[in-house]
Amino acid sequence: MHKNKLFAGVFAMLLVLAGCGGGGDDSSALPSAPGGGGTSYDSATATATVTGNIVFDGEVPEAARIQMAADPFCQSHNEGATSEEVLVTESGQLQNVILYVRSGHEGTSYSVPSEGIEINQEDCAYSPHTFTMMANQELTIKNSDTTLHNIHAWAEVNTPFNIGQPVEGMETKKTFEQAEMPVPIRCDVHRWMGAFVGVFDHPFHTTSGSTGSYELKLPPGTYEIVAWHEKYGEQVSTLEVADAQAAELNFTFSAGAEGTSD
Amino acid sequence: MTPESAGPESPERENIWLHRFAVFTALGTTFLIFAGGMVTSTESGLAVPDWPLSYGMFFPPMVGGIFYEHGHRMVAGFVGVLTFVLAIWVSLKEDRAWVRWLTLGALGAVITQSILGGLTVLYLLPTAISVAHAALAQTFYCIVISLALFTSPDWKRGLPSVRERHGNPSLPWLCVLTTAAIYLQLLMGALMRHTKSGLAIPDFPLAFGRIIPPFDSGAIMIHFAHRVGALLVTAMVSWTLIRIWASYRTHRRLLRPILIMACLVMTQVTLGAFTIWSQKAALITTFHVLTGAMILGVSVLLTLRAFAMVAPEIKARHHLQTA
Repeated sequence: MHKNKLFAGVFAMLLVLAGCGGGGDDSSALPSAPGGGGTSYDSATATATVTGNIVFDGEVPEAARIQMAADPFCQSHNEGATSEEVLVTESGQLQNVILYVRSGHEGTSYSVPSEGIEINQEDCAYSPHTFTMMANQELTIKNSDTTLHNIHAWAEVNTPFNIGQPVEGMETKKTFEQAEMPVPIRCDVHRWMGAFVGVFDHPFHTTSGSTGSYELKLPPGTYEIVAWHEKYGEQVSTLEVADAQAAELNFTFSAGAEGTSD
Repeated sequence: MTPESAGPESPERENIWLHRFAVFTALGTTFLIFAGGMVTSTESGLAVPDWPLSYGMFFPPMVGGIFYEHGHRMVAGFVGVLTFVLAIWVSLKEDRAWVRWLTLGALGAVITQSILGGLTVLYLLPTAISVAHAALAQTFYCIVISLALFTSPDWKRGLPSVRERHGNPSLPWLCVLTTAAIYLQLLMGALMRHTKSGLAIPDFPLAFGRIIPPFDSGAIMIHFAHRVGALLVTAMVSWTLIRIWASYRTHRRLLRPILIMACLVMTQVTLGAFTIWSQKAALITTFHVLTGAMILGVSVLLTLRAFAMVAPEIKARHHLQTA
């Protein structure tokens, strides 16, 4: 693998030296997610609704203070910022958990949504901190700060990328071609900036966002549903839903122990 | 005529300035290794995603990780210019062809090094290229230190011959073995840093509370190999020190470097321990890298002096008779 990268590197360098270098942005969106097949998915069949809360059990760890002195802009625009690793609502629900269907959706091909997803760099933090999207769906990366950022996606299944956005208002379009969960996103200029994206080959995914709760629309069937958190790992539960059924599935993450689902 | 008494326009005076410039280049390279170490220690290697420009600019705002990455590029550029000037100067003024070739080698190394640095950024720090970048840095450092020695008046006047006393291997070849051990240890250190194995064994001096750790992962193996390498280097430096102390301690050109090496090795082992105890604090880790490079540099210096000074007995006797 490294050998291939080395050869690729040398070859690319030769191209640049010969004046043939260059290359475009790989942001072109493709019409369907990989790994599908079988019948086409009709969103009207997703009549079952699964809702739930992500319960945090135990004492909420104190959020670490972020030292932003390395960049005066960040320090002045986000004074007193704390780590977003563990955020819990006042009612005790864990934010920024990614929820998705791991199995039960196979045998169907899913089209990629035409509307894209956006991640914004604002006041030297990513917004949102966690998000989900489909493979080949367009991701817009935006810099709303007057300082520069680099966006480094540490993908392993997909091709990793590292791009710079030195100018306020700059936007870059990117796609991930394969399902991968999770893909960490980092800014190497500002080491505290981190986000996670879940990339899927189906549309059954969401996050607990800022409320600590979620909703998934599913066709009738039996599914393995996963709740993933960057610090506390994942919880898995199997659920069978019928046509038009409203089901509730809560997950519990504990600060010191394995969580449970009910 | 001593170099100090040479007139301002004499060749000897000019050569002194060439030597001083070579020393300055070596000092600049020392700082460059420190600056490069800070890039890895602060994990800022990808803070500037493009190359050769930085965010499309010659001089981006020096904030966050950019300070380390672009700062490293600036220091590297400065050392590159120094090397270029040194190559021109040597090609114009140096009579010894092999010194001219060596200087060209230094120039080639610094150019290759900059390309490797660019590639490792563009390809997101692949281990092979990053380790090659670190290894070539040490090689370049050795070449520049050699040039500083070869251009010195002391070397050009001819170092005093010393009769070889005893020992197998001979002192020059013992020095070669020591230098090789140090170089391999630095390579292992680079591999450990670029595979993020620096804390794969979290305790010191034991390893997971044992003498020999469980080899559950490649990271643990790499880390433990680096510790074993440290023992090997310490043993080799000690052996060289004992040999020089026993047989050549009246020769300061040999004694001084090995004493410096011994001090540096003790410092280095201490820094290695604190690197782990501090969870890889950036400054401590970087000084660990820097001290490793300095041990190698002094070892190269000692090796070259040993080859120049320590002659087999017959050759030494002949030299003394003709002197």
